[in-house]
Amino acid sequence: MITFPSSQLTSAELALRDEVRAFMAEYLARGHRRQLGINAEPSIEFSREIARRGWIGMSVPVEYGGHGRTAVDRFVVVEEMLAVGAPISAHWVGDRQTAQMLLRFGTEEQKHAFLPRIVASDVFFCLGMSEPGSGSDLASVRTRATRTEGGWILNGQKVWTSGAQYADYVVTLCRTEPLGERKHVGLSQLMVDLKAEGVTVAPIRLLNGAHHFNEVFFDNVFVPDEMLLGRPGDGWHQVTSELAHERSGPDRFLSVMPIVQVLYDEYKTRDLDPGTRNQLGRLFAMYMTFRSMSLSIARRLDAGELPAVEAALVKDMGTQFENRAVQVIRSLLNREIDPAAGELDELLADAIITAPTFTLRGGTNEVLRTVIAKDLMRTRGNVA
Amino acid sequence: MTNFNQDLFSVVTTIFEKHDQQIRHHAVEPWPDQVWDQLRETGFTAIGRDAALEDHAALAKAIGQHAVALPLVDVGLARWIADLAGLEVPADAVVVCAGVRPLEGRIEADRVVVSGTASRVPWGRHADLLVVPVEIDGTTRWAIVERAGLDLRESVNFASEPRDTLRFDDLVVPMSAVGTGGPSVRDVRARGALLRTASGLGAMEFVLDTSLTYAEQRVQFGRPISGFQTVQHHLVLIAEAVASVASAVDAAVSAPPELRLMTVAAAKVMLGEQAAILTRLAHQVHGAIGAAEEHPLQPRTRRLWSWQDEFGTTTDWAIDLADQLVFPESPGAWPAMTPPLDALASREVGEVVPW
Repeated sequence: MITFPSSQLTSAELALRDEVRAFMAEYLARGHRRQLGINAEPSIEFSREIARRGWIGMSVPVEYGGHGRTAVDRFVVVEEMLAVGAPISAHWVGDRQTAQMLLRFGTEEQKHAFLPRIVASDVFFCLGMSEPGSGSDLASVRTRATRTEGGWILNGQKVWTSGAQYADYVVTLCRTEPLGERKHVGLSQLMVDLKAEGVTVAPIRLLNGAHHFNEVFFDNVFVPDEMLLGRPGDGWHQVTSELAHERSGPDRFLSVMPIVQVLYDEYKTRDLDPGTRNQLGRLFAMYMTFRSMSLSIARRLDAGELPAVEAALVKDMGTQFENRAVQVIRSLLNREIDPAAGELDELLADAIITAPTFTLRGGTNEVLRTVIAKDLMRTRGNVA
Repeated sequence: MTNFNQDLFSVVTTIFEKHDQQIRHHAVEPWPDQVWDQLRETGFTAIGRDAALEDHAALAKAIGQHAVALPLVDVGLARWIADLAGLEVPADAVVVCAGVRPLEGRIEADRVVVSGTASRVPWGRHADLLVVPVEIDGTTRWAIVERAGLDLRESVNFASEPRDTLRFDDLVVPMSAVGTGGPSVRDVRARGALLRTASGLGAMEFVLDTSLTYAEQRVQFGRPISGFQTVQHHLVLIAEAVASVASAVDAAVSAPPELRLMTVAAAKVMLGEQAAILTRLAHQVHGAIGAAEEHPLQPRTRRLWSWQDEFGTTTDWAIDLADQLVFPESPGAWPAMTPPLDALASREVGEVVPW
């Protein structure tokens, strides 16, 4: 049953929101520029600063150095930051995925070793998933680890690894058993020290010139036993069970909100013609709705559910919508965009150039639709 | 949509399921007497203020899902207005709201003389009574009048549901038939918009279900067309339309009163946006047969095409939402969209009377 029950933020959640909102206003007042969602240049200082305020690893239990709060609390923090274009990239993967993955699958030793450091922004993770021959068909990865005394020897290559140039560890999906009849069997995740011998990181610049992505090469890299996440052979299950966390967040519909905010500040004192108000109103309705849907997933995560299909649906709709929002803003401005002419144009130029990646990153929309379609057939279209 | 009365929905759905619908195109949908009698006997045609918004929304959704050509939703709306304005409506009467644009009224002795035109009144020709907004001395008040004797021009919407124009030519209304207080015209328009959206959601759920069934049964090139990825993607977009409108309706029905109109505007915009996608793709999945008169798809899609315009078009509500949320004192687009926000209190984003 695909369902998105709506809810309001509680007074405690609203208090947190106000706190984050006030902090972000102050942060921008210091002269930091707005950036677009996970396109943002990483800022380790920013990540450390908000870690000190308790806004990273919020749902990690206190016994592992976390704050014992909820997925909704994290949702509140993240949406407030994305809405104003905060540089959230550095801690993003650790906060959103690795911490959750460690909590669910990690050994006690791994939890104690890494969670407190993630919470403090003392350690950063990146994800070694895609390979030159494995994009959407992720289970076909060929990077392999073979058994050795006290650990594994890792060989292979990852691609599109964002943040590998500054992260400490790359969580690497690899084959730990030879390929059998079922390719989803025999995969594991290794947490590989990016400074280990045999690891090479090479930049891939994106079409806007930005350096987020990398190739990561493993040449006979020794990975100690204790760095295998959870149990050997559990990799596919681990990767797929975190999709509800990965796909449902506000980052899937708020990428261009900073642009909407800048434009709005220009518009709010003007008399707007009906055409402009019509376009704006439609954007608002969609923002409100996707926000409500995304929040409902966070609530369900807190209830112990993993609504992966709903998350895929929000990501598909949200990322399509981000592209539409860019088009609407362009049609409202109705002029050539000058990437060197101030905040609005600069942000919009970045959005226009990188918009094609919105519907690719974190699982292409085509793959998401296949996931949703399977569920629709199985549940006979139970959507409410 | 989860914040609505599921039990009530099931009860009324049972009534509709028993009614074997003749799916045919009619210039005007025939009035199914038997179903109306059953609804009346079970009390569903007499609810107004005594029923919660969740109940009205549940009935609206059931009407939409089963494409029932009866004014259950409109009678519920009119009774709600009458209750709030302190107007008596006999339990058996068919009463509808005649327009959301006030007519002119002038006081003569102890009577009000009403003139003007109420256009596209839902089921006007079937109504015994009409609840009409009348502007008297600069104040809008609700009056209850008999339909018989009024000049009536018949018309329909795309789904052949009656939408009639009524002319008031110095109609004399006794003061006892003029209420005091009650909802604002804006409230009524918004409530009507929300109930149409709930009906639209019911229709959209039906369309999703019938599209999935058809795609799994229809075999071409040796396999069900649901096996083709392009068709699957159509089905997903149809499901997304349903899910997003469901979420928006849910948000509006369960909204805090002070944010009701803002969430209703968003829901009605979502209906317009998403019903357009859903209807196009559902017909695409069905191929030619979905456009046949006897196919159950078309009574839903035709209703959706009309309902997205009724009680304010998608564009009307988009403009309304922008007017609510764009103002000089606003701290920003995001805070305006994510209330509570003190600055919104003076923006008419909430309901005026309790819904």
